[in-house]
Amino acid sequence: MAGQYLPVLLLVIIASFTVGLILLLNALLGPKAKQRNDFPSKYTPFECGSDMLEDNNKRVSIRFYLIALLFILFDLEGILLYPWAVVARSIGTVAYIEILIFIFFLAVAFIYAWRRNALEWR
Amino acid sequence: MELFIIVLLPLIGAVSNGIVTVINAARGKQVWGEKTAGVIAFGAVAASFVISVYMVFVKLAHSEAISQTAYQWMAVGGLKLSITFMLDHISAVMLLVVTGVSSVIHFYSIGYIHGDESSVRYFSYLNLFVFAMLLLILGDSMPLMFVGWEGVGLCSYLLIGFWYKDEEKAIAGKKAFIVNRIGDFGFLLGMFLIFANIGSLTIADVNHYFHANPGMTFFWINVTAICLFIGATGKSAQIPLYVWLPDAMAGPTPVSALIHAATMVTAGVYMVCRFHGLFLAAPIAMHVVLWIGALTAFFSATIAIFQNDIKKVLAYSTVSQLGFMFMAAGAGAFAIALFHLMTHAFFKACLFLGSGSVIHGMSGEQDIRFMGGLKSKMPHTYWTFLVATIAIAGFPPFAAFFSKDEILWNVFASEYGNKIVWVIGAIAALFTAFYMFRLVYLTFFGEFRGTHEQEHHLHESPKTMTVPLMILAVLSTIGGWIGIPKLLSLGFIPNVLEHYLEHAVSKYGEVHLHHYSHSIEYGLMGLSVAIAIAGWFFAKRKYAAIKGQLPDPATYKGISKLLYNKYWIDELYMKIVVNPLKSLSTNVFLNITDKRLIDGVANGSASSWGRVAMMFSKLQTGNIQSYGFYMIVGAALAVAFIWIIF
Amino acid sequence: MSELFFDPAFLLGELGLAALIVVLTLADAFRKPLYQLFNGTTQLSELEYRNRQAGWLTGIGFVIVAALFIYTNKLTGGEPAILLHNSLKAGGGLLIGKLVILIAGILTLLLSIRYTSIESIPGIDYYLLLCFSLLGALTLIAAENFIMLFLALEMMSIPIYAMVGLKRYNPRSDESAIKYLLLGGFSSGFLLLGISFLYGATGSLVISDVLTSLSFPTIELATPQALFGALGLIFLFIGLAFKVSLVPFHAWTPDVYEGAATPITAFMSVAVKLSAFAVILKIFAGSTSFGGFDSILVGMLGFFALITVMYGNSVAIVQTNVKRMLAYSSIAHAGYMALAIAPMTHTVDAAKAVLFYGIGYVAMNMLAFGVLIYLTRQNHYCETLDDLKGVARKFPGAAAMMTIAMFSLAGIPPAVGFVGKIQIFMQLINAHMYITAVIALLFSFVALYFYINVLVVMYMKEPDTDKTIESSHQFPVWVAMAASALLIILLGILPTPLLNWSQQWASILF
Repeated sequence: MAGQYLPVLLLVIIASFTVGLILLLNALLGPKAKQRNDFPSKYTPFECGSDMLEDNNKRVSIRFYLIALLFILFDLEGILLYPWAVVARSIGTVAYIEILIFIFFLAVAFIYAWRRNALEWR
Repeated sequence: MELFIIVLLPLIGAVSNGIVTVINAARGKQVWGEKTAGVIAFGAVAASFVISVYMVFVKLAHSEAISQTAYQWMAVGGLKLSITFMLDHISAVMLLVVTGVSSVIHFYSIGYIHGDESSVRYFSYLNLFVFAMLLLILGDSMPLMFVGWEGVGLCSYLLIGFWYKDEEKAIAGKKAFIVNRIGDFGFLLGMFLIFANIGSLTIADVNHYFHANPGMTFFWINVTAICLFIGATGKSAQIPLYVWLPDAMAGPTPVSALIHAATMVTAGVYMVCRFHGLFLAAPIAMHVVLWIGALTAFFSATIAIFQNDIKKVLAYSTVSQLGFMFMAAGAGAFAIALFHLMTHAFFKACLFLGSGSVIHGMSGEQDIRFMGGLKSKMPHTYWTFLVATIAIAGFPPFAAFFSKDEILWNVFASEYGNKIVWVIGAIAALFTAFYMFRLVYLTFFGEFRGTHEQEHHLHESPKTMTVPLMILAVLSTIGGWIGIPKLLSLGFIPNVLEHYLEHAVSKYGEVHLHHYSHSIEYGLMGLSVAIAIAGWFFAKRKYAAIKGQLPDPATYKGISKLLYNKYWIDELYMKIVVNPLKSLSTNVFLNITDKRLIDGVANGSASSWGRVAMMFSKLQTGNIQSYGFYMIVGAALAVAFIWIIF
Repeated sequence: MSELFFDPAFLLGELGLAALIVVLTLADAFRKPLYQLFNGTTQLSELEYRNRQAGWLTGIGFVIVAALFIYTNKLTGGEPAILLHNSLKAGGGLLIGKLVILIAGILTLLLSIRYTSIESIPGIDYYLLLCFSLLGALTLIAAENFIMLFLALEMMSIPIYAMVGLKRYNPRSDESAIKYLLLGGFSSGFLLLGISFLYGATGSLVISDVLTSLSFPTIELATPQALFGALGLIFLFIGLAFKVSLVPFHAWTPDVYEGAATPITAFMSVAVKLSAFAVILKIFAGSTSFGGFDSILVGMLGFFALITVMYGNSVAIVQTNVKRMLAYSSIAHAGYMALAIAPMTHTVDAAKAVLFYGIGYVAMNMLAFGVLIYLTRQNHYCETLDDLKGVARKFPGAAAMMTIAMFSLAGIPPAVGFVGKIQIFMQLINAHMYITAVIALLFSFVALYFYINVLVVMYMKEPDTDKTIESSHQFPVWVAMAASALLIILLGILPTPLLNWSQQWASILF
């Protein structure tokens, strides 16, 4: 069975060989920086391209997280309705009752979020 | 279930009062005071008594024994222990005596302990004692009995040292505990021997085994029985372990009455009766019991003659009477031993409570040299004390006449008996009558020899104390009537007690009495009466009309000096046992074994292990990356185990 | 055992708990109007008022749920069933486990009512999360397939991550919540990896089917199936070992226990541990013998359990914080429980011993943490040994309770811990693992040191600060402490009923 995985092994060997070779060449051929200011571009994020206009280490308001969290939760739960709709008819009444219970819980959670002012931007 | 309740009620009382003691001490405020504590304690014991009466007279009336299992306690290997309580005719007698006398004494204690700051603690201990005693009585297996046996020892220790701030009392408590422990060791050894040979520890099994087919050799049977008897000598204050009981009088007087006269000290007698199947199979042990009993009865009676502390006299008297009980047991008359146990519980409790009343009236004075003439000042106490004295001296028809006479008769006539022992017993009885009447005359007759202050304060005790006295006095009078011998029955008065116990104590072997004619029996009975009268007569001649102060014990000479100093037994023990042990302990065990060896190893290993632990705890960096790394290492290790099979 | 699709009679308790969650959610949503409606006269702050209301509401709910469990037993005649296409087992002895976990929840609640106000924790969030976690734990011990197992495990864990961080103004609490969350996620990864390996090896997710196909001779050694089966079991074990904190998957325990609110710590240390152990028992110590795999598992479990016992008991010695000390002690106790299954005897006795120990552990740890909570005052934490100095003077009742707890944890008779330890050691001795037993026993002597040390500090040291502050509303804490103490002593003297119950619970795992 191990024979099946031979290509994978080969891939791993080739990949590490290639990467190792490039790094080695870099170390041998590249210019050496004696001090920090010799190659200022070495300290930019990608060592190439145009310089950045501003620092990307910025804070995002915590409110976005709350909205995003709620969005994902309700979105995912809403998506469950699609597969349900496909099979609802074949399952029958049980499916109907089940989805009602599901929507009820969703509604409770929604009321909770709403009453706790989670939907307000403040 | 009922037996379970009987045992449990005092425990509930003890626990509730105990918790309140702790809370009171911590909070500095009273959750409840001595009144409530007393009522709870008394109520618990009285309820136990009522249920006991019901159990004995209704439930046990038509059956031989009632056995109730509460639950399986533990099962270790072949040893299966269950908490089973058994009520048969032997334990029934003991049960009624203990719960009955306890109720009376709890009631008395309410008055006696009034005003003491730790009265709640007192009632808690007292109830705990009753619980342990009931466990001892009703337990159907040796381990359960042993729990009760140790429990009463513990309570005795706690109560003797109740006023622990007085160092002498604390030491007395310690002495009692240690001496008792020596005896307990014997009990334990006996228990191990029995278990090793039988594999069962229930009382019925043990008795049955020794009765039916002793696979053990004659020698080992006797060793086992003697081991158990050593336990009994510790608890019941027999030679050579009697020394703790007189000191135990340091405790509160109701405690002396309850524990050191009526109930706990009789546990040894009870135990010997319980295991009569074993003892009857061990004739040498029976002789040991007989002789130890007789010697104890005799020696302590002689000591009692020259004691001046009212409670010490009674203490030695107790030791002596316990000796009588063992004489009975040694002669094979177990029913009579229990009979005397019962009557003794009544009159000795009465005497102790009476002495408590006297001490109470005398503002704490215990020395009879400074008493006298209390008859008119404390009439109730006097009359009850007198009745109990007459009872113990053996005047007919008071209680001890019947029981003591029966003991002497059995010693005389039984196949295990012995004429020399009979003579010793008779002399002891003579001394008993003498020292008791000496006590009465010195305390209640003549003129007052105490200070004016004491005379001024002299008063009769309150009702809560005198009523129990009266109850016990009545019992001391009529208590013997349930065991009237055939000879005096006039053909129609039944010997209730003997009839009751007949089957229970002869289940594992009959004891035969040598045949003697009625005239000899009558003669011996007459002799008993004559002995009592003689004792009274000598005491009256010597002490009734005493004038002025009594001589200081320091001036005693010759035999009186020997007896006053109790044969210097305490000093002897101190010299040959305690001091060598002490020096061995300090010099060898403490300084070398403990300090150098054990502490060295223990402390060394603790500190070095602490260092290892310190090293381990360095792993706890608080750094989540390293925690994740540990998990990876763990996973790698776990996966490595796969090599075991792949 | 009948197989049903769905029968509400079997799940009354869980449904009740779900209803309670809905009620609590709505009550919180409308808390403002409710507060105005009922709090006309009281002098309490809004937070304190709400916390107490929420506490009572949850408490009543829990009692009703407990009643529903008992009613379920009556309704179903004590017969277990498998529901929802091999997803859940319900009824029978499982109800005992569920009741135990619920009781742990009730005790936590009693300990929390006052504590939440002291720490300014919004009560209803807290109780809501507690309910979610309980529901997860109740489902976890009933799970019959791996998907349900994983779902329930996460449902139990995620609310706890949040609860650990509920002391929002305390950086330690935040730190521990993040630590727990990250490492918990890591361990869930292991668990899922294990599940997928097992699925790959056997083609099934139903636990019993998986176990059957992994047992010899169904499976042959030296096939990829066997290899991945073994790997699956090992990774599954790692995921669960994290939850019960076996060394070296334990590292989160002291930090999280210290940082979390004390009642949550108590809850984590008993309910989570007990239910995770129930799962371990189900998978590893159930009736299916793995044949050749067993030797792997004996080695692995024995090794991890033993180093857990050694490590937990050793490091606890040098702790000065009582909560950390109890954390290490809980690690050590997990080690003891794992030791009982290490022989892989696949007998109901081993499972019984573990469950007995776990249930007893609920009572003793609740008591120990309860005392710490009892002694916590406004602006005065009671967490270090120094805080406990001389406590016995002022609070003899609390000190006595601590004594009972420590004796039981140390395994001194007559507490229940003693009986539990005996059960554990009997398993080892019956399997002739004498050396393991001796080492474990030695380390339980080491454990004596730090347990007794607490008592020494309480009884024999002089208090160095004024600890005389009385505080009100201690009644619920007292109830919890008294109940636990009573259980410890009662079950220590009369272990038979609990042994029977653990037996019933254990036999449903088989």
